[in-house]
Amino acid sequence: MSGKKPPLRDSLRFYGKLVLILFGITAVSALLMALVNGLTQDRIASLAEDRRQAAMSAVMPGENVIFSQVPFDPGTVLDMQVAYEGGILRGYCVQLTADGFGGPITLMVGVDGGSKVTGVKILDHNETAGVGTRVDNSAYLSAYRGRSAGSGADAVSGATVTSRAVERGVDAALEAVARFEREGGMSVEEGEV
Amino acid sequence: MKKEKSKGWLEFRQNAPAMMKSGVRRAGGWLGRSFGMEPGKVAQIFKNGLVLQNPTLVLLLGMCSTLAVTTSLKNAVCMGLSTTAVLLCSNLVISLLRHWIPKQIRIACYVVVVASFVTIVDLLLQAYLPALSESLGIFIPLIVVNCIILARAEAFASKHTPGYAAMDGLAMGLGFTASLSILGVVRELLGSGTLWGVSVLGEGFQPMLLVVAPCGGFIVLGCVIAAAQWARSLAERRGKT
Amino acid sequence: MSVTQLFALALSAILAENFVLVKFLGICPFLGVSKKTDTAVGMGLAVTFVMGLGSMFTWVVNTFLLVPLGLQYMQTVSYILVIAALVQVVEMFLRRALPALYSALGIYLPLITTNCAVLGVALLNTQKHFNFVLSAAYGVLAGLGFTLAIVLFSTIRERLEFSKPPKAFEGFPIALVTAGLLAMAFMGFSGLKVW
Repeated sequence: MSGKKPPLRDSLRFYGKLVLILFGITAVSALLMALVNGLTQDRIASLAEDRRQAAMSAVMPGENVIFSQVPFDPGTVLDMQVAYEGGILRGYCVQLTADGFGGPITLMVGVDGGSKVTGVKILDHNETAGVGTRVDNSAYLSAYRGRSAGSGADAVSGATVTSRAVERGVDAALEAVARFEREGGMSVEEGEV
Repeated sequence: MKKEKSKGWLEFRQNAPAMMKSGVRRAGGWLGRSFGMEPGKVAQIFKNGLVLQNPTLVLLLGMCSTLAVTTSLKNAVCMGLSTTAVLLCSNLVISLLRHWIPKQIRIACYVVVVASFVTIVDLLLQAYLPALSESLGIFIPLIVVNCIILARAEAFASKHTPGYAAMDGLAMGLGFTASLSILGVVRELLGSGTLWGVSVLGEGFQPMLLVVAPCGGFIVLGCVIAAAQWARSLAERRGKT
Repeated sequence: MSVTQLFALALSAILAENFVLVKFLGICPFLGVSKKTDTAVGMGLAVTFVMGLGSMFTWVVNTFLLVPLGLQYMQTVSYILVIAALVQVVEMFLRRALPALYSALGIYLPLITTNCAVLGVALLNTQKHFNFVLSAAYGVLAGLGFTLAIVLFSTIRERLEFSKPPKAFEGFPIALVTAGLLAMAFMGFSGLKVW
């Protein structure tokens, strides 16, 4: 009968070596990733900010519009920003989600000081290609301009659920702005939050 | 009064040029052994990766990415190239470390190496090609579980010199990209009438939306693999006669 | 979390956005282990178990380690290491407790580590900002969706053994076309919602 169990010291040394090598490889990889992350994170953050600015500018017409965030009720509303042009309140940009056919649709809705829609932009969706995606065209979405809360909207034929989701989103944006203005809102003279 | 320099320093200064020369010679030798390659073997590696053992059409690996990103040619090519980059780097590093990675934890080590390169590619894409990063979505981080990379690490990179391992990574990656492109062309052409976003088949073409839907992915891939198997049996028959 | 929310999540994870037939996650084992129904069931349940536990552990790692330290870019590496360790533990457990299943699954058990569905569900949980309960629930439900798809597919493939497709289509290609038809059937569930 051969083979006595190896002494504990050898087993520990063996497993210790395994752990050390794995740890070493992980440490070097972590350093490398941290390096690349450091190089890229500023650019990634600024790209995200640019995207947001572009989406807001698309729904809020104006030359030198400045946006600044205002408090909002988190839920379906992801972000609400007030828009100023030359110190005058232009309106609000609300980013929110609405339940569509294939999941939540992310919308950016521009609302002016008179609670009328200035523009609608679809940022993200999971709708059926070729059917629900027909709603994401400027001709249909521009029909929302000038609309106030409660008035109905046409749907794109064959994409009723998606169209209704967009309509619900626009109504929710108008409601969020109305609630904000009821609770104090922004005074037109001041240019700051 | 000038300070007396120690004896050791004088000896070192005397031997330094010779030591440096031998160091450079040894490094050169190592580089030559690691990266020296015979053209014949390299050609064989490329023939393998692109045709004979094409990862998608023959080895049947990496299906998840293949089906998900081939709805457009642009996505397909870019996913293929990202995977090629990761494959190349991970094969290279794993081959360089092959003598130090113990057998028992080799899979864990391979996974860490691959995952780091995937993270680096992901961060670079997010920073410099954000539109692409968004359209490929979670399939970029999922490159880490693309069976092709681990399979090649285990089967090839751990057993060959870094030069050949890098070539194999490149070849397999290009083979993967090629098969993704074939699928991308078929699915985009039939499913949207465009090629790389440019409308090719004109206004009158009614696109087959099922082809870009998930079911289309399965069916088109099945037909392409069938075509590949038929081509292989043809080649075998012709080889026999 | 209300029952309605759970039900809606279940409908989405198992039917409307089935992980295999709609999201394309977990295809390799789906095609590889589906030749026989009993192995398929075993594989599906093993994957469900790993997905549920994996979701929980990755959520913990993300919330208590990565986010506080600002290390979100390490998500891919840490998630895959957690999953690899988990699969190792499951493997050891199965070898002692259920040796028959262990030998039936064979090489496919360690391959659960490279199952896109397991890492995919962890990444999706993070993307959707799910809390712990929702993450765990989504992991288990997605696993059940995977099991459903793989079991359905295996029953069809067992019948396919007796059919004679064209020579070029034998083996994988006809299986893929069949999966495509199954995916087409599942398209009927899209838009299924509980309001």
